[in-house]
Formats: sequence, structure tokens, C-alpha cells
Amino acid sequence: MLDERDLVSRMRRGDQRAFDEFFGAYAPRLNSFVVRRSSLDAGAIEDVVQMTMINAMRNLGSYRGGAALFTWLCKICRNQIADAGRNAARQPKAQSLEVLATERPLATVVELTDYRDPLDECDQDSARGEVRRVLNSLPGHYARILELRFGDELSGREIACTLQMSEDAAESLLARARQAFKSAWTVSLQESAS
Amino acid sequence: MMDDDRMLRESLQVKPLSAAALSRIRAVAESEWRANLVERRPRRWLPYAAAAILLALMSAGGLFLAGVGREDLGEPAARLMRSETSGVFEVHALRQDIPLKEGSVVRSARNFRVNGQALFELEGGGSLRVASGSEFEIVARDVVRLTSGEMYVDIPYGMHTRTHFIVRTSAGEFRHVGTQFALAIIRDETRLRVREGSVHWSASGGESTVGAGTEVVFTNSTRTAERPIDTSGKDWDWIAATTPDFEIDNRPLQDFLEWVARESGRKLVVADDLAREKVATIRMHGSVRGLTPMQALSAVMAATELRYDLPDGLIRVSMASESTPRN
Repeated sequence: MLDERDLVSRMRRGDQRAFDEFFGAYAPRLNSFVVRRSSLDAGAIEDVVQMTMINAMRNLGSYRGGAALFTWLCKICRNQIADAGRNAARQPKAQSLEVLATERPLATVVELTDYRDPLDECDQDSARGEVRRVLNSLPGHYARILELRFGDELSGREIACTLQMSEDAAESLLARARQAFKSAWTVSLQESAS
Repeated sequence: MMDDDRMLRESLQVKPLSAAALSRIRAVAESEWRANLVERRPRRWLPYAAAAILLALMSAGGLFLAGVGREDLGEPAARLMRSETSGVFEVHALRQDIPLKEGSVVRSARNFRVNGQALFELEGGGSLRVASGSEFEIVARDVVRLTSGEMYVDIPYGMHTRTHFIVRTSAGEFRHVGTQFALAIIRDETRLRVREGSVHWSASGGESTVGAGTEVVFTNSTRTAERPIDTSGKDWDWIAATTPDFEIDNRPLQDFLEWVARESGRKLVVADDLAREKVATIRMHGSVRGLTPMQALSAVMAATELRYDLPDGLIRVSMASESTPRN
């Protein structure tokens, strides 16, 4: 597992291997982070990840290790998502009149509460949307650990590092989060059935 | 029923970046990483660099006095494709400015004065339109410094992740993110108008990304005013005179309409299935060289069964038999 402060320190000294490790570990996760929090098209998502990486490289010296490296990257990324969302809203696209006339309502806006991202949208796809709505109804730290475990497929140790807690505490939090999701999901199913 | 873990996994996992996208992002990130390393390195090399610069100056002086080799210095950055009759000049401090011919390659580390509006094709992809009365320096292949006047940068969508074009002014650095944008120097201010995509601005006074349909004014290195603007209309009329040529011969009408829409900052709308089928299947022959995009649109559409009108911000294409009045 990466020692993040050491990794950044080596990158600042110009260590190519450190850059490779950094990029390999975080670029794919940033992509997932953006996709889950926006309804941007593939090109715009690529731009957001790219701009996040550019800004991270420019500000590498400001990373002090106070937060997990990925949390620091997410902070940069959230600003880029917000900018991209505003741009996408203003961007003209070629579209048929028929499509314009029958345009679907906007995607439901939901929030993964731990991140408090204003652009956290989910698909019209009902199952995926419903799971995300339920996730957003959970306490933020539950939603986040479930995202790290099931979205990013992180191990217990990696989750512990990201959330800056012991592995035992992370396992315990994950168990409580799963239980909370199960209960909330059951309630959601009952509500939709009634 | 699906178990909770599987449901969470399916809902939270996303499509990964393609290998090509990952590779593009990596190239840009790595280049930024290296650029920032260079700035932080201790300056033990300073005496050596000073000596190297002195030697380079002596060599350049020798070349200047001999009057040879000058045209080969610097890396090729762009090609002058077209200019109005008063032309473009390479500016020299100690000798007469050199008028450029159409087709000339322009190189880095040179200054230019544009007396007649000009179109440059960039080596890295995309184009640069420069208004009459402008002055600029080509700093490097993908970096220009605008010192007066106005320029319009067009990096088409397909090229935007490969090309890292930057314009510098006294207000900071403007880096395209898949873009059409115009930068103008007005007295001590820099005015940025973004037509498509977005532009990342950075300076000592801050940094931000400016999206399409926005005008921002910068004073020195601070963002001082912002307003929404139309992406079509008179603010953009000046660029039509130097639109890059579009070869229509044997190309589908759809390509041409998309080009006109992009050049005019309008959204293309096709009214119905029949019109859509025509747009996709009609192939064009001939040439629209020398025409502005709107003149070309009028000429091409007159030869088809289709018609168009121009409601606010749109190019609307329909079958000619429909009853809406033609603009």
C-alpha cells in the first residue's frame, strides 16, 4: 500500500516511479468519483479528470499529509465538476426538434451527503437511482465507506488509510453501514410497494 | 432478489476510462508535473545557463551580422493560411520588418504585427485568427503572447485533448479545454469571450475555468467582471472573414451543416425524419471557397430540397415543402 506522504515527497524530487504509482492509483478512482457525481458526457469527464490532475501537479507542494491524498484530490476535483456542470448547462448541442419537444425531465439530483456535492446526480435508471437515493439518505460516513468498498473495490486496509482510521474501526464502520443500508433499502421497497 | 452487496456494486461501479483517454490524461499530467519540477529545482545551474546564454547570443549576433540562418531558428509553430491585403509582418528591432506570404511557416521566438486580418493553421492542430491591428509573439510551438489587438483560438473538439495551446497576456495564462474563444487587449485589460468548451485561466491573482457563453474581463492578474454572452451574433462577426476553407466536394451535407453551426456558434436542429435522412445522405459537389459560412449555407441549401431558417441561436433545417417562411 502507498505511503502517501512519501509518495508525494518522491514526486516532488522528480522520481518517475513515484509519478507512475500516483497516476496509476488515483486517475481511475478520480474518474469513478466524477462519474458518480455528475451526468457529464465522456469528453467532459475526461476534461475534469485532466484538469484535476493538472491542478494537483501545480499544487503538489501544498499537500501536507493532513488528509488522505485521495481526499485532497477529491477537493480539487469537486471544483472542476462544478465548473464543468455550469459549462455543460450553457453548452449548445445539435439536437432534433422532436427530441427538444419531448425532452425528458432533468435527472434527479441526489447527494452523497458526506461529500455534499451539489452536482451529484443519478441516472433516470430507476434501480441505480433508487440505490443512490437510499445511500444519500444514510449518514454521510456510511455512504462514503460503502462507496469506497463497493464502488472503488478498496480493501479494508485501503479504506482505513483513506478514512484515516484503524483497520478494525473501518471494518466495524463498514458492517454498520451495510446494516443501515439494508434497513433503509427495505423501507424504500415497502414505500414503493404501498 | 439481488443481494445487497451485489446491488451496491452494480449501482456504484462505473465504466472505466478508455486506455486512450487514460494515456492522454497521463501525458498532460506528466508534462505538468515536469514543468513544475523545473521551476522548483535549485538554481545551481544558473552560472552555466548564463554562460550558455552568452554563447548563444554571440552565435546569434554572428548569424545576424552574416545575414544567414535566421529563418531556420525557432521551431515551426503555425502556417499563415490567409490574410487581408495589408498583410502580416515579422517584426524586427534592428532591421526592416518582413512581410509574410500566404503559406509561410511562422516560428517560435518571433514577434508579429497583423495589419490585415489573418488566419494561421497551428502546427499542433486547430487555428488562430488574428484581428487587424494586433501584435503577438510566438513564444513556443503551443504558446503565444498577445500584446495588443484580438485573437480567436479554435481547437476543434476531436483535437482538444492532444493540443495544449496557451495564450498569455498581461492578465495571465489562458489554456484551452476544447475550445473556441476570443481574447482581446483593451487598454490595460484583457477580455476573454468563450464560445465553446471552456478556458482555464491562471495568474498570480487566482485561477478559474470560464465556460462557453461567458465574457470575463481581467485587469492585471485579477478577474474583475463577468457577464453571459451569445455564442452567435455580431460579437463574432469579425472572424467570418478568415474562416478556414471547408472542402465540400463529395462530403455529406451533415458535415457541412455541422461546420456552419460551429463557425456561427449556432445549434443545428433538423426538423423531422425525412429532413434528417436527406441531411445524412446528400453528398455535395463543387466548392464554397471564398464564401463566409452563412453565404456558403445559402448557396448549398439552394441546391437541395431542404430549407433553413435562423431562429435565435439555431440553424433549423426542414423539407422545403414545409410552410415556415424562409429567412
